[in-house]
Amino acid sequence: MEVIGDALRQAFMPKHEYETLRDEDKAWGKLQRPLVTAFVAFILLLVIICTTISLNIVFPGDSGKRPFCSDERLQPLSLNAKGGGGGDSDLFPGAYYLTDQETVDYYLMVVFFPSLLIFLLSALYLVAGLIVAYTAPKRHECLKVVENNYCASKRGGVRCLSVLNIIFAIIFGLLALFLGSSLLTLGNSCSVPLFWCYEISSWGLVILFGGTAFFLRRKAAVILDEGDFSGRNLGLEMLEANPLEATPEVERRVNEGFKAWMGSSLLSSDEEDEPDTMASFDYDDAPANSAAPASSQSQTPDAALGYDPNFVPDSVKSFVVHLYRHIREKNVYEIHQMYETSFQTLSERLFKDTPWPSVDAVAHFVDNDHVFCLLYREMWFRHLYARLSPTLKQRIDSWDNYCSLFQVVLHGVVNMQLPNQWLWDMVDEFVYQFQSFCQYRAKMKNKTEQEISLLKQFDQAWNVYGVLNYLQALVERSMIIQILEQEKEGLEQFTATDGYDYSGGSNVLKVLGYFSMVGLLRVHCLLGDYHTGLKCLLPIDISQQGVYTSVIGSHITTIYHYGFANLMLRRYVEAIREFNKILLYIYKTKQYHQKSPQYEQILKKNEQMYALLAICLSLCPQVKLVEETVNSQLREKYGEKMIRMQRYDDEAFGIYDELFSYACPKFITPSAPSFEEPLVNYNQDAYRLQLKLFLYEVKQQQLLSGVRTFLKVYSTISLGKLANYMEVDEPTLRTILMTYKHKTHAVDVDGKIVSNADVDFYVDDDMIHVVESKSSKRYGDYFLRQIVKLEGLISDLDRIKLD
Amino acid sequence: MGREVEVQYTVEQLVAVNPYNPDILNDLENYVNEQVSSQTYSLDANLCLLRLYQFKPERMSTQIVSRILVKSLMAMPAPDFTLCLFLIPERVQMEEQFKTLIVLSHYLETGRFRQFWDEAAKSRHIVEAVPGFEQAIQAYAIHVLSLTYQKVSRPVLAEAINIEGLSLDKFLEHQVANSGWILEKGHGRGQLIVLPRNEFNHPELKKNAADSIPFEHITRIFPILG
Repeated sequence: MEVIGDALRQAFMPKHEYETLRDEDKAWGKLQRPLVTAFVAFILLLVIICTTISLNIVFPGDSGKRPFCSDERLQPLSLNAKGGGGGDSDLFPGAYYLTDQETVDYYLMVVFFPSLLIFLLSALYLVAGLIVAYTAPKRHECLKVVENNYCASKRGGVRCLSVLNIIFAIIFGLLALFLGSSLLTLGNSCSVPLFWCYEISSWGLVILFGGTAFFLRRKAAVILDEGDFSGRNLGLEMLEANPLEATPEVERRVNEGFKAWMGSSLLSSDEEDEPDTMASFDYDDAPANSAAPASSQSQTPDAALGYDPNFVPDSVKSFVVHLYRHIREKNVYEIHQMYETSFQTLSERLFKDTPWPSVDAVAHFVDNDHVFCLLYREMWFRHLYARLSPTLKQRIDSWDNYCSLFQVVLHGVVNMQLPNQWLWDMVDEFVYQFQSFCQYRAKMKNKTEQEISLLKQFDQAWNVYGVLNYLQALVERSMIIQILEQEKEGLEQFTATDGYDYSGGSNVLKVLGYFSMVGLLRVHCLLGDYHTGLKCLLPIDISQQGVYTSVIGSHITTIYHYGFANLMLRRYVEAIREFNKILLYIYKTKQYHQKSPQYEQILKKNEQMYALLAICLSLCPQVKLVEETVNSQLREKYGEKMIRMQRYDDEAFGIYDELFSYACPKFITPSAPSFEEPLVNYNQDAYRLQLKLFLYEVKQQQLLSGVRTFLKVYSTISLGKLANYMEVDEPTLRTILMTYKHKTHAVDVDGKIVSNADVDFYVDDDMIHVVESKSSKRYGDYFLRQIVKLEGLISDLDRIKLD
Repeated sequence: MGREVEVQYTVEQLVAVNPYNPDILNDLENYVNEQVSSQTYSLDANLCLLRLYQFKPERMSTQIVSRILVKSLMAMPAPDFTLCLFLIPERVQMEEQFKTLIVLSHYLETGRFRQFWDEAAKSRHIVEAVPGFEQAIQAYAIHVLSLTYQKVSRPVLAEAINIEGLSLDKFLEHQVANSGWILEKGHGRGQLIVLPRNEFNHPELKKNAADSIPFEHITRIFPILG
């Protein structure tokens, strides 16, 4: 009764107020089920009563009197003038009259039995449908009835069941219309009651079947059932898996790599025992709060009561179910929406400072699909890393999860399409968590006994070999390098489709492999191995648009690390050119990313790259390479500092130090700590080394800006005179000039010498001849761009005229 | 049999195939020695070895590291020496022999050849362990000189390549015959050497890249032209 009261109250409440109610509180939801059940029972009762009556008419009791046929004598006379068996045909030639017996026989044989037969056929589906719809989110055993049906394999059991019910509803409707009306034409006294009985029961069945179909259709989304038909529930990876074609060579190389660093643990850490690790989480900050969600209005799921990993709010349930469905249906657009928007919104609303529900709590909504659970946990950990500080155990578990996920992908049996954004985030987060783990591990000073023993126990977690080999394996297995190579010859499409596969295949391995190259660049930069890092990126032509530019995060990460590595390799011009491009790009497109979860990250990298650009330009003043907007931004941010950096005194070094420290990647020491010695923090070691070597380089170049200033004013000057001006002796000046030449002539990727010099000169014995490198404008490129622009404009105009 | 197939892989190939495999550490160490004796050089293999040392610092052999560094000095003007230093922990760099090498590199980077040769003479034991060291540095010196000078006076050259007197005459003869050097009479003070022309000491040789348009850019307007 209380429920009905609630329902009435809620029925009259303003709409917005109603929507603020939690799902559990909405009375209609609770009322729905009993009401529908009562309705179904009523219809069933009606059908049964009608059938019984009609059978009573057909098989009258021993008295021989048929119920409802009382007017048997009057009807035929009044209506059809004569009774009897169709002998006389004076008035209505061809008309004949049936006796009651003939009528009921007709009813029994022509109407009742066929209908009964059809009903018996359909009853199974009706009952199954009712039960399935009633037990909705759970998958009921009854779905087995459609297991071997043709449509089930195509559209899923629930949908199939619903289709069957609709078909039967239509059949009964037709029966009611035609067979029922044929009863009336008999014109017998019993035909009218029989007609009514038949009509009522048929239409009752139509309602039942139709209703069942309707509810099944609505619940089909919730009851995800595919993948279950041949008795295997192995999840996404088993769906029409077409194993990747890997040449034995690749196979061997990859396997060798794995064996080399993982040994047998590869097998033991695999797949099946995943959920256990999840279950063994001890959420220190969460007192067990397993009480069912009370329906009192004051309590919201994220109330400060603590975090219950097993409580799944309805919104999360529907999120998971829909995401799962979209992944199955390869609806990349929807996946992207849910991933980018819904996940963030839900995190913001419900999980601001608690983790998402544990994977165990949601697994049964998604058929315990192995791959989906891995993906869910990947997001789970990402959210945890972003909003809370992960414990050591969680870090290790996240590593395990990435291992399982990548193993599944590497075995080439996934058949999903995931948005590039997500795949990029996976690689990005993988490297980030590695970096974060190294930083964490290096802070040995205040580690507890327990943490240290865990570190010792799980020394494979976030092991640098593991990280590098996974990335490398993804690159190799995906054959991405060959794909990019073939694309250049027009044999393959990758960039043109942004890496997606429109012919039904999966993009996951390919795109993961692609982004892994960027991941490798980043890891190598973190290790200080810039040369190898750039080598890893070589297959990607960064002078052009590519898949890496399709995701802003990957675009920025790629260019940031590419530029940084080039800076450290003294290829300043290359660094300046790329920084300039990306900074201009960010400047122009910043506003579109304001709502993106990565916006803060974008801004931070933007600032860092301005700092790096300031460093590059101070060491190699090629300002003409920098676009005007970027230049003015740069002057605004670092103009004054850049002037001071030209002086090469202690203060200037201080600024170089400051900018480098601000803008450099978070260098890591990859080796495991030594546990024996007095525990020391070594998290700063790698950074200090890189900084020191960088400042060393700056010091070697400290006299160059002096030379530069003089060279700018003279076209020819003798060595002696210049030495005089610079207050050094002649041999020293010669060394300075050679240093200038050496430092401004970098060795490029192919081993060729390229000049980075803004002011160039040559020495003829004792005479310096200065060559002002004229700012040669690239007219050709400019005109080409304008031609393309103009053409676009003209075609736009044409289109407008047509409208 | 399988073993034999393995052996046929050069270390270079091993590095290319599986760069993150701790098992190749020994091969790489041997390969460093091989590079020293056969006067070859592979930056990739050496960086790979330094990386493996970085992952397992207890395996580090200072002798191998010092050989790698000398080798990378010989690769000047490429920045290989610094690239290697980026991967060597700071406390290792504090050792005496590495300090010396760092100083040597500093002299080379800043074009102070006289100091370099003096310092190298003091630490013969390090640099002479690697054959071809002197020639490699001389090649670097000539590289920097020819970037800078059209004509260079004999003493300056002598100082940079650390060759004097008769052997310098021989050296010059060889270069004149093989590398297109020209000897000129300077104004009173002695010989002038005309170094071969290149785009850096003869800026007019520099191809005017600005005027040429790469083919890929033209392809962008193909549809419009058509």
